[in-house]
Amino acid sequence: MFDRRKFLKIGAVATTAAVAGGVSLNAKAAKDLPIRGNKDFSPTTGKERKAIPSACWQCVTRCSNMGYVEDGRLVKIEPNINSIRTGGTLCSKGQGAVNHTYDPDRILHPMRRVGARGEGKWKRISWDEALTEVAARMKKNRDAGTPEKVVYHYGRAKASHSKTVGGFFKAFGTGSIGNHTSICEGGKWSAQELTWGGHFDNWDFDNTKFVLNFGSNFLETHTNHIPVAHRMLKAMADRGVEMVTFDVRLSNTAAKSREWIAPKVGTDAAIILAMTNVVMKEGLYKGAGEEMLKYTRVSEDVNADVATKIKAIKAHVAGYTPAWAEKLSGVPASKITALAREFATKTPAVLVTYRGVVAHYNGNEGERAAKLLCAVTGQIDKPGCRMKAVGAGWKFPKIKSNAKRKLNIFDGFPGQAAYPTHHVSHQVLKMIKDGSAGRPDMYITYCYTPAYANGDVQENIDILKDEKLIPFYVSVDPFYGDSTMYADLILPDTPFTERWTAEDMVSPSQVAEFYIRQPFTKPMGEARDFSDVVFDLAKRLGVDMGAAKSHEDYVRMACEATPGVKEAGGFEYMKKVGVWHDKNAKPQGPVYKTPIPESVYKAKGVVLDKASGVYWKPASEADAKKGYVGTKKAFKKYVAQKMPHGVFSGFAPDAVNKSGYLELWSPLLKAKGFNPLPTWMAIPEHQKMAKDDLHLTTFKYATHSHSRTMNCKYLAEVYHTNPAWINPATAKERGIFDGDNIKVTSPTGEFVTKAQLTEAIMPGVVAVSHHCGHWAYGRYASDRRAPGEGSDSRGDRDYKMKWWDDNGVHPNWAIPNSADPINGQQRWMDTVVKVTRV
Amino acid sequence: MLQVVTNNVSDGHPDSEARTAIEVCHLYGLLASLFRAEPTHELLQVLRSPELSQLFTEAGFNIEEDLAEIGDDDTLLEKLAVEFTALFLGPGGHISPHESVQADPDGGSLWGDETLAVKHFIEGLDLAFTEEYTGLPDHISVELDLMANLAGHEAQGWEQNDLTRAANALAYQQDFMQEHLLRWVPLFCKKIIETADLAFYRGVARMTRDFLASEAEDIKRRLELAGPPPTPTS
Repeated sequence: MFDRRKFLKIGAVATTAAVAGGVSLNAKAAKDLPIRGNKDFSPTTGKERKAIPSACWQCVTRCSNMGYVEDGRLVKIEPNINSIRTGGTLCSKGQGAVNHTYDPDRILHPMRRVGARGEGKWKRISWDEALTEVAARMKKNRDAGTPEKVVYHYGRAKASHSKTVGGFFKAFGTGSIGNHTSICEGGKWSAQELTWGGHFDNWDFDNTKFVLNFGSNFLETHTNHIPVAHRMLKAMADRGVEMVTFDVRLSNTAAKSREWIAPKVGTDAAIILAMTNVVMKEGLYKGAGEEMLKYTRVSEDVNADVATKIKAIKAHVAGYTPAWAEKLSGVPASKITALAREFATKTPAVLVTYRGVVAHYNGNEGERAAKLLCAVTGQIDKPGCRMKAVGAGWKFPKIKSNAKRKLNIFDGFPGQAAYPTHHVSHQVLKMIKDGSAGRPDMYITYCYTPAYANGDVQENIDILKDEKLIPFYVSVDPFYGDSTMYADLILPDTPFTERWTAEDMVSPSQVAEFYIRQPFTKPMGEARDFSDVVFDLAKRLGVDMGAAKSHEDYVRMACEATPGVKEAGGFEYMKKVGVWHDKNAKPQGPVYKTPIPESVYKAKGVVLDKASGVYWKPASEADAKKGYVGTKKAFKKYVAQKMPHGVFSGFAPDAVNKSGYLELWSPLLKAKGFNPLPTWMAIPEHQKMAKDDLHLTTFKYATHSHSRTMNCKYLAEVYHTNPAWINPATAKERGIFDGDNIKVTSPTGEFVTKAQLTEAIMPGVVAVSHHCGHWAYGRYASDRRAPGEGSDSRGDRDYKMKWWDDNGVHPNWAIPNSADPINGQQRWMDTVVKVTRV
Repeated sequence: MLQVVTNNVSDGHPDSEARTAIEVCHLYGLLASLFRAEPTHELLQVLRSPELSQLFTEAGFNIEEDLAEIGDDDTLLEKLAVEFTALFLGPGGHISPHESVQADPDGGSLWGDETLAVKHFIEGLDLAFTEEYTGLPDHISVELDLMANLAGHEAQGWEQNDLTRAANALAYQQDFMQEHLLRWVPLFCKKIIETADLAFYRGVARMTRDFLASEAEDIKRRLELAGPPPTPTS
């Protein structure tokens, strides 16, 4: 046995020169050790590489990273070890982003279409020509009093990007600004805004004891992927935290779980409601649940006491028995009961929900049901549970908006979605085709590929190609992509590796992290960051962009104005370190319990809205008469919530006129004809399935994002083709063998792929990943080079080593663009298909 | 399975942690010197001094006894030199004391990737090789010297009550322990224990193996005590 205590005594006397350490090494100068940090060296020359802290953009998580530059060339991307969000980790997508900069099919010059749309004939033009043309078209619309006909539609624009680019279009005068959140997780966000206000939830894996996961593959991909994934793995390894995952497919997250449970497609909401039934029936709400219910609204009466609330919930969920849920979901009632008990007693526990729950017709209700289950078990917004998220609150320079007019094409057709607070972006092209809400004269896309990213690909292409529907299409893109190819004008954007941004994504540590993106290298060719281009356009159009002169300038000003960042050293500090957080800050805990003093809620102009119990500050007498819920954007005037036991900060609203309760009984939904309490809604398409119909669901692999990574050769080599997962039993019924070509057909369209027979998918379902099947986006994604200047002469010596011909298929040819009736979320998982052997 | 008693003389007080770090520094130095070359007269004197010899025995390593078996000093030094050569230098079959060779289960080459990684680690600390040292960067004696150096910095941090400085040095120690030493030294020591003719080198190998295992644990404790390591400009 080795006794350290005794052994160390040897060290106390072994001090003579003969045995002292340091014989082989000397300090170069008499000084302390350098601070430990990211370093990298050239394997050929041994020279230290320049390390530049920056931030990723491969997915919306936007992790801090570190780029290494050798002789002016970006050679490697690693994590930034100083980030509290990522804990010094970065996913494969982030590391593979090094390929973006040197993508042989990058667009390096502004290009003007010369043939028919989509024909691929282009002429190189100067930036001056390009911007003159864009500015003239914008000016024409402004002069005609129709600035809203300039439509700006982005896929991802965050933090300072959003402020500058979006700010420019608003300052110009158009409110026609769209995003693509409805094809991501907009539905979840809207549902959270309806219940607890604030769209984002953080899963506090650092402090949890149990994780119940419905439909999230967060170890492979997620809106806040690496920051939560590495925490979950740490929780599993260090504390033995167990997870149970509901998913129709054995994702890698399900595989890492204690149990994988495969429910029938679209029935998660029923299971969650049945778990609530168990909790109520067995009195598992007592204690923490009762305390939470003080801050929760479950009936029209905002003054109801807890006992009355319990009675109301019991009555509501009485029919949602585990046996009822078993019939719908196929999950045994005994399993539902056991997990309900475990979730309610192994506290604090996290309830995870994502697209497996929300990308359905009943997604909004699935998410609201999750909030109900969390509420009755007292597991809302406290350590170890799902918490209100914390992001960086930058002090950005102001850009004044002049947007008074907009085309109503972003929220779906009238009546299609009740509260699409994150819009119905996948319907935008369809609405342009319809024309009843007006059409753009100029359609500008930024970091967005509408043809590929949305469902019903053929219709998207047909609309983009039709000059009568879209007279002028400008694509701002670093690459020649599946939508860019239909543009009239391409403005070559920089990949994120050559950009500035002040970034703000949520930190699961519950302490805000401020971080920046800075260029690893100078933009290649004539590529320009669109956030800089808008400053140029603003000058041409006389648009006031405020004090900043460029995007870098804007980021610098934000660093110098933001408390904490400023004191740490501002812009120079951020350029050097990349990240900053307040080391003395305590993790944000519950936000709803803060008592509000009388001086605030009885201040001049503040009134009590008796129907909702909300203290608010109506702008006028008329608004006060209309009441809080009925007044447009009244939530902006929210002050506090009156509850029977006091006046509190509450779950403050931020997008809709909800009360300050955790609002599970929603007057807003009632007003639109929905059940105000979280309710099971059957998926219409699933009620009339023929015997041989299958469900089509989609998913993502860890190495790719939905649409933007297949051009990265390192990532494409890892994953480039996507056979359809099909259960052997389901395949047998159709005479399908492993590796057979199969045709997947829906009323929207069809595609052919190979069958991958696997028990890792439940019977009755065919699952196809996104990412693949590009018809453009460069040689690694599609084997098609970008046309135009430079691409014939630009090569990539690795391309001849591309050993795969099969670039996979895109499932969206067969998936319709459809919307959750409450929040407008694209229903990725509701498609019904027929699958036949080819 | 190796059993390690990790109870420490330290009580969490900076002075006591400083003492521990100094002891750790010296132990790394001692072990480095034992692997650097065949023992000299001076080293032998130190090892056989009554005070140290007693401490070795108490710690479970009977160096005095191991050495006494061999004979008088000249014979002893000769035999130790022959053993050192056979074990670590060759020619012919020997146990290369270089990480790049040992890290590869099939036998890596000298100046491999690990050599470069150690070189970069050292240069990243603004340390340079002394003129006298002409060996490779990933020789075990260099790796142990490096740890001695880092433990020295740690000790200064504790002595000055500068916990950030201590944490920085500890974080480096943890990195190097996990990324390098633990990846190859335990197996290297096992080979010595299985191969050495003289009990002395089997003892050195056991000491090294056990000390690293105990340090790997104690670094974590000291790091927790010192708090989070600093960021580049904090």
